[in-house]
Amino acid sequence: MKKFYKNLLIFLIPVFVVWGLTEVFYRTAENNFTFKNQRIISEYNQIETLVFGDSHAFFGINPEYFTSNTFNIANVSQSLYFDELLLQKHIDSLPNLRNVILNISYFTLSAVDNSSEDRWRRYFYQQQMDLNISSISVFDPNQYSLALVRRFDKSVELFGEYLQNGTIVSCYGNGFGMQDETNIVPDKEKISVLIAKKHEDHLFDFEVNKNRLQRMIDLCNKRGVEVFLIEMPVYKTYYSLLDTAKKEKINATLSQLEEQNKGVHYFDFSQEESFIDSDFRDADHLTNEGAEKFSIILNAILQKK
Amino acid sequence: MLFNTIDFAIFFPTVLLLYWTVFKKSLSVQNLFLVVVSYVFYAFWDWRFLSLIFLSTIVDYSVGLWLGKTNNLSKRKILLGISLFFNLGLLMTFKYFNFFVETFVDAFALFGTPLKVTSWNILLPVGISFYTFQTMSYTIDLYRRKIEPTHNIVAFFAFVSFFPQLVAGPIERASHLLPQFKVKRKFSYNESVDGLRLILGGLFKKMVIADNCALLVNNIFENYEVTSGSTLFFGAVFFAFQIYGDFSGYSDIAIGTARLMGFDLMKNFNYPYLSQNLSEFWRRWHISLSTWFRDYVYIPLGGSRVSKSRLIFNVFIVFIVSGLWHGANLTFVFWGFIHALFVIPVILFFKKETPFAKDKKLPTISQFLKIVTTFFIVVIAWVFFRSETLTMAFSYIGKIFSSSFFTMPQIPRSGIFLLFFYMVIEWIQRHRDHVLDIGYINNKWIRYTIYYLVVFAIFYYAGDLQPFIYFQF
Repeated sequence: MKKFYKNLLIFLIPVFVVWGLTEVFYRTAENNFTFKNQRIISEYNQIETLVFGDSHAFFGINPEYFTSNTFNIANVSQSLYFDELLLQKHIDSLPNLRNVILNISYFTLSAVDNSSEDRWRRYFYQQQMDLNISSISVFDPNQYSLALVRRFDKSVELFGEYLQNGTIVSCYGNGFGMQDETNIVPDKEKISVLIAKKHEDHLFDFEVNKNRLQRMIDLCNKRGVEVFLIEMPVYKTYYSLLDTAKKEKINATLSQLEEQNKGVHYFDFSQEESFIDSDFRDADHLTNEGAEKFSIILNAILQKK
Repeated sequence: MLFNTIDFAIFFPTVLLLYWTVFKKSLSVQNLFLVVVSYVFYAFWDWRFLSLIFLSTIVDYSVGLWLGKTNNLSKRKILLGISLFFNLGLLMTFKYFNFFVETFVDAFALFGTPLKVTSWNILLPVGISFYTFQTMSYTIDLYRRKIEPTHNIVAFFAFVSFFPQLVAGPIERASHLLPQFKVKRKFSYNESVDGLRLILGGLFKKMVIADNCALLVNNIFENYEVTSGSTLFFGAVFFAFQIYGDFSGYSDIAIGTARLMGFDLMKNFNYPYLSQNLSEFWRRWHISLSTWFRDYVYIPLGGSRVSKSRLIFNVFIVFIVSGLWHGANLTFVFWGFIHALFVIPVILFFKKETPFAKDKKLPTISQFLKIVTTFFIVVIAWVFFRSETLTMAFSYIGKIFSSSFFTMPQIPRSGIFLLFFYMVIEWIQRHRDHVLDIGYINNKWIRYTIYYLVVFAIFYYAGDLQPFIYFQF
């Protein structure tokens, strides 16, 4: 049996080495999670406006075009669950915070916690943004190794990117997401069909996320921070393919939150007419130009309030 | 706890180490240890359903003891009835209750009598179809006096709950597995290495083949209404490999895991997509279930030693029940029906298929055509298995056989290449125990290169983690 264990261990040495190296990579190379965490902490005393949300806000709201000192803490597939944890963690350390912008996408209110999108992200939020993720049990071995929670092909891809660019951070200092302007989907009609289908979860139960939003609003209200609930511009075909009843329910829920709470403002820009085809990268994301246009509009609203 | 998770990667080596060191000296303690870790393994899904396994074990153990004490035929029948009633009752309650209620309501609605019956919100306990069938085989074999009742309660508990095969088989027979709990297991280097090969091959089948096919299959089946016939056909082919990779991968890992602990589990798959007819397919696919139905349903019904009409009836019964075993839905029943439809001519008119010659590198043209035809039938039948309703299945198949079948399919060519390559490997290995049975390659470096390539493929090309399909049965 000793021979068996010895040979097995020898066989596994390369596997353990690769695992170890991947772990070192994730623990040492700066990424969006560590970068944003460091930036927000270093700018605690300056930040006046904080942007939360998913990729729509990450690539669509550029703090550069805001008059107030703005930081974009949104991230790809960042759900309200993480938005709330981030707000809870940082709000007391932001003495000059005046505005919180919360992007609400079609799927935000019906999103369920611990979805497949969160499968690996929650460990990164816990380890690299110091959030207390209650769904991660103390017995969950994944929390001890970031290399184990990400797909290996993705790790290899990121490592290649790191070797090529010297970093895997894909956002600017203000948290706004970097986009490859050459990577614009040409057939927006076709992608709209696919993305609308992907985003359709057929869920109408908003209770958990509505309560979550209310808690975030209460937290902001206590500190005199204004909350802006924003539905961002999306491509017309994508919008037309979404469930009308659900869109109406989202609208009603957000309007109700606006009416029932002081300092809450709701704006639905999903079919804002000033946005033309070239402002969209695909069905539901803005290009840099689109983001500039949208950020200017948003800034004007903030200034008026 | 899934086999392809880090949880299991920690759980199993720990269990194995303790099993061969701390608990090695006493057989009873080693068995007790297996019972405890098996219950822990199951509790990772839902600890509440442990009570069902516990009750099923107690009932069948007790029935077994009483069967051993009486020769009175009426009493023996009553005892067997208790076992069957309890195990089938569990299945009926947890798996089929809503199906039968809904079918009943639909039938009445068809005749213009709408019934208002509320269905229950029942969770399906993982593996219930597997362990109930395993325990039933024990009491039936006792009733038939094929085996002797066991007085060793720990061994019996270990037999029912043995974690490698608890949730998705192979469905073991008491005559094969139970005696293995009564003798001291010996560590075998060669068997253990082969166990690791089985685990490695199983992980490849599950994580590389099945999980990657699953992504394509889900997309194609979800959008079947707007997809071309050619793409739908390949969608069904991908599903054929998804379910094969998923289930045979699980079985390989289960057999390999058991082998590392000194147990021999029955082979569950034997290169089924190399079958030359549907009858052969069922001797190669989910062998532990098909032999269960053969021994406990088909043969008691008279088997093939009956009139032709009765034989046809028997085959239909077996396949329809087999379909129902897979799930409480008419789609599964129809899937069984199709298989019966193609198995019957084989039983009636073809006596034996030509086995593949060991010394031939390629199959004969006749063999190749038979393999392709059988595979095509199996693929079409899988559409029913995968579809949510019969209407969807018929619509899906209707679209396959439309003019759009002759358009270019929108599928990744790499996927087809991978599956073709995999089938070539299966063909090369067709006379071996399993696909990674490469102990015959004398050159150590070649063997190790193959192992590392498989390990690399598992890590690099693994699809997104998907639950094992057969857990829902």
